Amino acid sequence: MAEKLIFHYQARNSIIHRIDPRIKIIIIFTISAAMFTVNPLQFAVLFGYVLSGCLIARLPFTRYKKELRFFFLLLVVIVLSRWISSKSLIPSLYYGARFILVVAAGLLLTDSTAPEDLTLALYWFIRPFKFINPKRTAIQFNLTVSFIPIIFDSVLEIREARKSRLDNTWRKPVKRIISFSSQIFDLILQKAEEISYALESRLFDEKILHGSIAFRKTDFIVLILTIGIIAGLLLVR
Amino acid sequence: MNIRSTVLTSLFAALIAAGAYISVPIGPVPITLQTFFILTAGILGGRKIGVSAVFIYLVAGSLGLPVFSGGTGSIAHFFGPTGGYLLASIPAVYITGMFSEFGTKMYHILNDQKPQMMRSVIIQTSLVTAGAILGSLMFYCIGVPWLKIVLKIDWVKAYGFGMGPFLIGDAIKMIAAISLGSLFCSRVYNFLHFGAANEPT
Repeated sequence: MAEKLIFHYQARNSIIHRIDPRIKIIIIFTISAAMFTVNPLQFAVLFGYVLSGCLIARLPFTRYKKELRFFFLLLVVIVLSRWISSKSLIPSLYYGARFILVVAAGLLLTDSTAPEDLTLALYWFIRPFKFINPKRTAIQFNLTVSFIPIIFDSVLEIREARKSRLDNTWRKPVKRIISFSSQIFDLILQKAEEISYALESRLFDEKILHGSIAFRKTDFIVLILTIGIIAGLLLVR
Repeated sequence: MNIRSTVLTSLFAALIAAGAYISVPIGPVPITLQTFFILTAGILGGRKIGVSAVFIYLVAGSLGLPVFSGGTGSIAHFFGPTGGYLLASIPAVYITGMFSEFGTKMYHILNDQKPQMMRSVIIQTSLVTAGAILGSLMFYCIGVPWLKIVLKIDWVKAYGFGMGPFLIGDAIKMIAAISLGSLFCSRVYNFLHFGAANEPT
C-alpha cells in the first residue's frame, strides 16, 4: 500500500516545529485571509515568507515526490481550466500561485505540528463555545486532517487495483463512476471502522486531551514579525 | 455521540474536503464534488453527524487549510461569491439528514410489522430522495441571492452563473449520493449501533 506522507506530522527539531501551534494557526489564518487582498508583488513577499518557513521546517519535499505529483497535476488542471474559462493567462497563473501558497501553508501547519498539539490548539480557540462541545470538535478536526491522506491513498489503491485487472477502459462511464466511487467509499469506510476499533480497544476517551502547549518568548517574536510583515504589506500599497 | 460517531463525522468532513479537489471552474462558481459528499453525509450519517462534519470542514477551510473548492482555503471565501454556498451546506445537510433519519425510522417500523416488505424500502427511498432534493435546493436558495449581492448583478445573471450550469450536474450528484446511501446505509447503521460492521448489506 502506498503510504501517504503529505499532511502528516514529520518530527524534526526546527524552530518552526517548536512554535506554539496556536501561533501557527493564527499565522496561517492571517496569511490565507491576507492573500486575497494583496497585489502580486505583495503576494510574492507572502509566498517567500511561507516558502522560507517550509525550508526552515526542513519539510522532506523529496520524500513527498509522489504526493506532490498529484498536487502538481491538480495545479495544471486548475490553471488550464481557468485559462480556458477566462481566456487570460496571467490571472490564471496567479490563481495557480495562490493554490501553491495555500497548499504550502497547509503543509507547514500539519507537517510541523504534532496531532495532539493541533488538537489542543484548536480546543484552546473554540473553548468558549460550549454549545459545540469543544473537546469533541477538536478531536474530530484532528481526525479529519488524518483522514485526508487516507482518502487519497485509498483512491490510488483502488485505481492501481483496477489497472492491474486491465480495467482501465472507459466504456459505460456512468456505471464505472458509480462502481469506482462505491469501491473507494467501501475501502475508506473499512479503514474508518479499523480506526474506531483501535480507539475502542485502547479505551479512548474523547473527554481527555493529552499533552500540553506553552507560549514562549520565541512564539511572541514570530507572531509580532508575521503581523508586522502583513500589516506592512497592507499599509504600503 | 460515541467514538464511532466521532470517527464517522471526521471521515465525512475529510470526504467533503477531498471532494473540493475535484473542481471544474466554469465561472464565479466552480463545479465540485463537495455537494455530493455533503448529501452523502446527510443520507448516511443523519442530522447530527452531517452537521458536525460540515462544521468541521468549514472550520478547517476558514483556518486556511486547502479544503475549499479548487484546493483553496481562507475565511475570505465566506465573503466571496461562493460564501452563500458554503453557509448553505449546514441547512442542506440538516434537511437531508432529517429526511434520511425519518426514512430509516419508517423502514424499521414497517419492516418490524411485515419483514421483507417492498413498501418499507420504497417509503425509505422516497423520503431520502425528498431530503436530497430539498437539500440540493437549499444550496441555490442561499447561494444564488448571496452571489447576486456580492457580484452586484441582476437575478437573471445570478441564476445564469450560480444555478443554470449546475442543475444537470447536481441532479447526477444527487442520484449518485442516493445510490451510495442505499448501498451503504445498513452497513453504516450497523457500524453506529451494533458494531457488526462487516455484515453483508
